[in-house]
Amino acid sequence: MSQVERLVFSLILGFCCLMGLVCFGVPIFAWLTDAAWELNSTRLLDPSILAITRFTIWQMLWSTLISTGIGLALGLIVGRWATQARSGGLLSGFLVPLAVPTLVSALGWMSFIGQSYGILYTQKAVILAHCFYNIPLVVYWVAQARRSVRPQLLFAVRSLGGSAWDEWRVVVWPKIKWPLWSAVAQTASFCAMSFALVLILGGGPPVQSLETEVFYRLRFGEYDPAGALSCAVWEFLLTLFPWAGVIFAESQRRKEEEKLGAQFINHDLVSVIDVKTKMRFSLSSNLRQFGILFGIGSILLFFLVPYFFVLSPGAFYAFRDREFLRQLWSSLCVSLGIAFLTSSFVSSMSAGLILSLRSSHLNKKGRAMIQFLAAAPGGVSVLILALGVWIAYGKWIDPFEGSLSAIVVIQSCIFFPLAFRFMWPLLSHEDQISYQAAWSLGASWWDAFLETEWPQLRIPLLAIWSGIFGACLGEVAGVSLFGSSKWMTLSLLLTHKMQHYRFEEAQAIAALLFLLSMSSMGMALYFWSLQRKQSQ
Amino acid sequence: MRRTRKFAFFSLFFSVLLLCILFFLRTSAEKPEQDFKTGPMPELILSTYQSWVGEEGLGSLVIPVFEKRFQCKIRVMTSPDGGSLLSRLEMDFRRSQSKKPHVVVGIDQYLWPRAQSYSEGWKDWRPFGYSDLTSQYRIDGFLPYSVGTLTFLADSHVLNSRHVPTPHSLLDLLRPELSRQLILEDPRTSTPGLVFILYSFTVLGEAQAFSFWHKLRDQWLTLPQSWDAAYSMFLRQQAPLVWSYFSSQAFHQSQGQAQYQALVFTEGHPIQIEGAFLVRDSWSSMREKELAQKFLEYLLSPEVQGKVPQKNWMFPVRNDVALPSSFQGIPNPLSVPTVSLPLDQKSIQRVLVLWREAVGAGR
Repeated sequence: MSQVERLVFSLILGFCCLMGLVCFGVPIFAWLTDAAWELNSTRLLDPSILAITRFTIWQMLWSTLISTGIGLALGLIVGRWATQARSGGLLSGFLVPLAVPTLVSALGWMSFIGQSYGILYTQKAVILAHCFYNIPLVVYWVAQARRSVRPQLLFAVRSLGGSAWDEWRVVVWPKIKWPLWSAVAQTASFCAMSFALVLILGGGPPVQSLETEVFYRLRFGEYDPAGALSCAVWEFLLTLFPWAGVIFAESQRRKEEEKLGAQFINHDLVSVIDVKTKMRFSLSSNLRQFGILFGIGSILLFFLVPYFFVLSPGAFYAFRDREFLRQLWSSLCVSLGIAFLTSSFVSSMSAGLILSLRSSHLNKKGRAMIQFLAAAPGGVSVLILALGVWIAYGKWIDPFEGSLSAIVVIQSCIFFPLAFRFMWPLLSHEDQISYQAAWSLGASWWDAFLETEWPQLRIPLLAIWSGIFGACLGEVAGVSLFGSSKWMTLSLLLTHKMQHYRFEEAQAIAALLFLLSMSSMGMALYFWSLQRKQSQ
Repeated sequence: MRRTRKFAFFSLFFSVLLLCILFFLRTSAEKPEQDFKTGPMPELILSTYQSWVGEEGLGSLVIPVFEKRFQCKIRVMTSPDGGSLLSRLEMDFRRSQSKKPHVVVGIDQYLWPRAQSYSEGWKDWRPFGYSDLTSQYRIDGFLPYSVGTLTFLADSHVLNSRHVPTPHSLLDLLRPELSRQLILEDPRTSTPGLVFILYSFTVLGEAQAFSFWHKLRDQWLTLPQSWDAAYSMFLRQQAPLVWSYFSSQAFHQSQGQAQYQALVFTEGHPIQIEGAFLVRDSWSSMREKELAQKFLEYLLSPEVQGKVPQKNWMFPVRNDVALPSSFQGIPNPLSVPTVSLPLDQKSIQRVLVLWREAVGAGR
């Protein structure tokens, strides 16, 4: 690598660090210093805030408990079925709820349970929606882990006289425990940070969480930054545990995989068992395959049904109104613009940071530190970050007037850890043999990169870009604080319509958002499968 | 070929980065005052809530006429509700924003104590026609332009179909048959919602009010953020009762809908006076201040007051204005037994804190 190229990478690394500082470091620092100066025990232990904290924990625990219980049971069933049929594509379907914007999901739920007045605007509605949102995630993680259990090992346990309990204890549980903990921690984190679902399905006090309270204290009614800070402190403490849980579970899972990979395998024994298990599974008929796929498909469909309620006929009547169409068009342009900016910014920042880290020859500890810092925004609630941006840049940004840069900054912080996590395995190691070959032919580092790595990276980068693009379209917490009539995104317009109970128009926007996010998710999955085929 | 690829890669990467940076810089530099085009025409900056300047709002009639008559330009800054209107003003003062609104329109007498520190005192000046107003409506520095009496509005069709009895007092609202049958507004965001909790606090006293609110949280269906959200739910028959105004009945009478009836409570009713005020330290010239004063006077003129009943669906504050036929039979705020509510900021804050504690979280 020439000196000029090293300088370019150092500049990129510096720029990425500066951006990280501006977008995340300064707002969080401003928030922490404000919290330290302005908060006192009276404010922090305000009975109304404590009651909301208790409710947030209560709903988080129930939602997580129910989601884990049902998700684990279904995941084991689906995972077991999945070992007996080709169902990889169907399994990815369990990730669909994650791609559905929470507002769309809230509206789908309202339409789904709308007639049952006993449930709507109660904590039951919130918990039910949280469970439906998270159970597929738990099912996916558990099923994937259960699927990777080698049937030969189960066969070995049985042939040694072990019971079903022994199979579970010795073979299945060690394989699924860390993915399960990771899913549980992610579910708890999602429920603690849930904003749109509580705001809309809860219907206001007494069903309110710390997130909605921060929003109320800043954006509506009395302007109470100290109260918002108190809520944010509790929220921060509450989300810290699930976040630490995710990191711990992920590292344990990786260690476990490395350990398993290094284990000595008796190939003769495995091959004998392979023949026996193949004989057992060869009995699977086409009918059985169909039955399995039908079973998995039915479970998946059950969890997706509420989302399709946004595509009601009422939504299509709204498209007749010209004024509404005008509003929709301008919001669509704003949303697409913001999504383009955020996804481009996040993709280029993540790629730039990883490539420059790779060339900086950092040691293992340094890399781990950067990985940790890059994951940090994922552990902070969006509203806490937004509060930090509000405090840090309040002199230059008028939140009531709206701010595009604040929205892009907040959304970038939300999605950066995700992009970084996806790109790290792709970009963090260079193919030394190809590079050496290119260099021996006199190519520069850039030429070598463009000729060897870039053709393989284009497609995954596009997949990540379109995934983030779709996620930005439905993001609601960031735009709730910094959106305005000037920067009216689709999700903000949808919130406005729902606050004014214009359900037909809200459903029309939700239907559009649903289709847009599904298309970008579809695009991401398409690019991903293309990449898989290429690598095969 | 290799060079072209290298060039393409570099251009793509840096153009995306450049685009993002340019957008950041452009929008960060976008300060509200830079949007102003201070031409020869003087400009009046008005801060109000969204529905006041909406198609059906009073502002849509008032603003164009005022601009034409006084040869000026009115720039409107909107907020979702009265509460956030004040929050925005507080933020402007905290940020020492050089360009503040000249006039704030749409706050009521209960928000006035909070707004008072940001208002410009009248000193010797009094708006034309102000001295003719009933003493009940006169608060120094605060110009009233509409008034209404709050009550529950009932949809008799829904009440009958759900076999819900009609409440006649505050304590009737706790009857088990009324569970999840009423819609109130969130007192933190909506002024009618705030008036409801002040009203119940005054009527029931502190100890009883606390347990009343605690029990009432099982009675309301939901607490929307604004009056229009609550009302739109009510019109969709999601609940048969909504906290609104006596004059809402006039609107339905004008539409020929007889099923909507305002309920009379034995305890009496609170009144809400909507008004406007001048913002201190907001003038860059005397011309701007004069224009703002003229705007307040215009709100009190018979011309605007005559439009209040049909645009705001409230009573005008002037007694000499003829009311439309739909207002016949609707009790005038001065004729209904009223309940005087606390008006000082400290008491209002205390009631809100108590309410928060009583309502708590979880149902």
